[in-house]
Amino acid sequence: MDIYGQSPAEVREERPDGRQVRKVGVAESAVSATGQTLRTSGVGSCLAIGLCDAEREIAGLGHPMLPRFADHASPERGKFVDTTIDDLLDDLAEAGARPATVDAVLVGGAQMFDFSFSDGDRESTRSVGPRNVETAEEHLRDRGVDLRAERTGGSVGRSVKLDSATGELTVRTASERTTEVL
Amino acid sequence: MKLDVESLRTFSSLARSGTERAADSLSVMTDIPTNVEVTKLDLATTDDVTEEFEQHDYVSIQIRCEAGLEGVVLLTFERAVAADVVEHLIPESMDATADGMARTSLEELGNVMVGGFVDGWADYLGTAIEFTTPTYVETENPVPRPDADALVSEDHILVFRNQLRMDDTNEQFLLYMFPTRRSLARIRDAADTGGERFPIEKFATFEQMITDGAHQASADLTSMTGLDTGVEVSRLSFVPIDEVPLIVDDDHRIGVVMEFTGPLSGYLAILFDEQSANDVVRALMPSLGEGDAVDAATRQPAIQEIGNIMTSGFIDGWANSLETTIDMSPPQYADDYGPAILDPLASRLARQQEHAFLIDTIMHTPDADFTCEIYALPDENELQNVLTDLSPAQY
Repeated sequence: MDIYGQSPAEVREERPDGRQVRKVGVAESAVSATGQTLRTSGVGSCLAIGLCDAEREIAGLGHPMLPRFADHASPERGKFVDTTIDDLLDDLAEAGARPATVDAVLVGGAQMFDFSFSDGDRESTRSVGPRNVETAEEHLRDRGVDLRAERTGGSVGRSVKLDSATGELTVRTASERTTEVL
Repeated sequence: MKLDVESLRTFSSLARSGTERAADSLSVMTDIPTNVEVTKLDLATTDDVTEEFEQHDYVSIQIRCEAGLEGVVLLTFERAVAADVVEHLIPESMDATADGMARTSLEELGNVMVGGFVDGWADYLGTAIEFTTPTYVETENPVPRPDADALVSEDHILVFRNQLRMDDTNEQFLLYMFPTRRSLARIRDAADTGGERFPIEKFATFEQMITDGAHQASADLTSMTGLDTGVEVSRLSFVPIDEVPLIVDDDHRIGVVMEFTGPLSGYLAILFDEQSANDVVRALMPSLGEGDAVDAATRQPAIQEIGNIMTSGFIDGWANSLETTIDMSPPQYADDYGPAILDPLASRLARQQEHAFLIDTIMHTPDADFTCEIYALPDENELQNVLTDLSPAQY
């Protein structure tokens, strides 16, 4: 729907200060070239993927749930680690980032619980969290993106804030009550 | 009325895209960045809806949709949230506290948001959707009540209950849609994929089973702790799988999760806020005084014990109703952000399904100081099998 002759996305784009903090939900991603803080909360076995071009002050944050797009019938690319990385890299390039200077930060991929109660097949006996992390590391390598830092694994949930201007990523945990800047 | 799961998916997708358009409309009109958090399709009775409105100090904008999508839309805010929104809508030079001005600005907002909401439905149905002039409604005069033509069985309706949140203030509000039975049937028929259609009474029977389980779990909690809890909410919903973690807020929760297996398998979480968890521990351990600190080592076994008992109360009744056995894994302790506790459960189901049937139950003491939430996520295909097998005598 157009409002006042423009799409909401166009209006928002013209109003860079109107959205200082932008929340990224599960299976969603966002890119900012206007100094916004991107945040996502309560990351358990899911993964928060931050991609930053600090030189050009452009960054993106995604929050996928599962490792690989090709292993599932879902059409939603934002649900998967590999397609989230691909789409974020495309969106960053479109926003003016230079691929050679983009680096990555990974947060999450915890093994929160042991669901071995009923698992029979090999695929599901391995927790989704560690598989999300492995897939991201591998896919970033394939795409030639440096992994600047990661806070992954363990059994704690994490919340993430990414300053798109500096590439500084803040990780908080609830159960350990820690805050760390990467 | 009969419905198949594929039509529930269609309803859910249309509600999601409609709510996103409504949120965009609000963001543009008010400069308040707004996100869609959860787009649920609830099976509810009209009394459930009325009670929810009676329990909150809500103000709503009501709009009636006609033609392609018939029904009533309510844009509903807690009164304090509405006041914040009005401040953004009215220029500084004008008096935002003037009642008439506030109402008119909210009505205009309702108009723009509902315009966004119905756009996707109109595209899907290939027809225009008209809507009436918005009206301002307060909870007590009168409590919004769905029309009789929204009934999909003797006493149930399907409600789109869409939850939105404003980024800057972190305040939440709701966009309800009560579609008519005729509209739902039209969209169902347009989406027809030949899947098995279930009489809505079967869903209602399943929902009653859940409510009975919630009351039993609440009774068990009360008898173990002496905390006088009652069930506030107990409902069956259909929700996109990636929205499941967002049904709880970002706050810290303490509780247990477990897996259940049998003809119906899935995952269950019993969660307390930190204060309520400590209340449970003190009640179970009389040596602890009211002001005594509760340490993690004391808390974990107490919460696992109450979790075990409440799970039995919640799920044993299902097994009896379905004349089967449902096994439960030992409860695993959870102490983390609410969404981080639920995301592993949703991710497990997301490997096979795009949406989830969600059972959510909220119980609290009369003063609401103590709260416990129960979330259950049954496997979608197995739930369909259970519905298929429900005999007419059971509904």
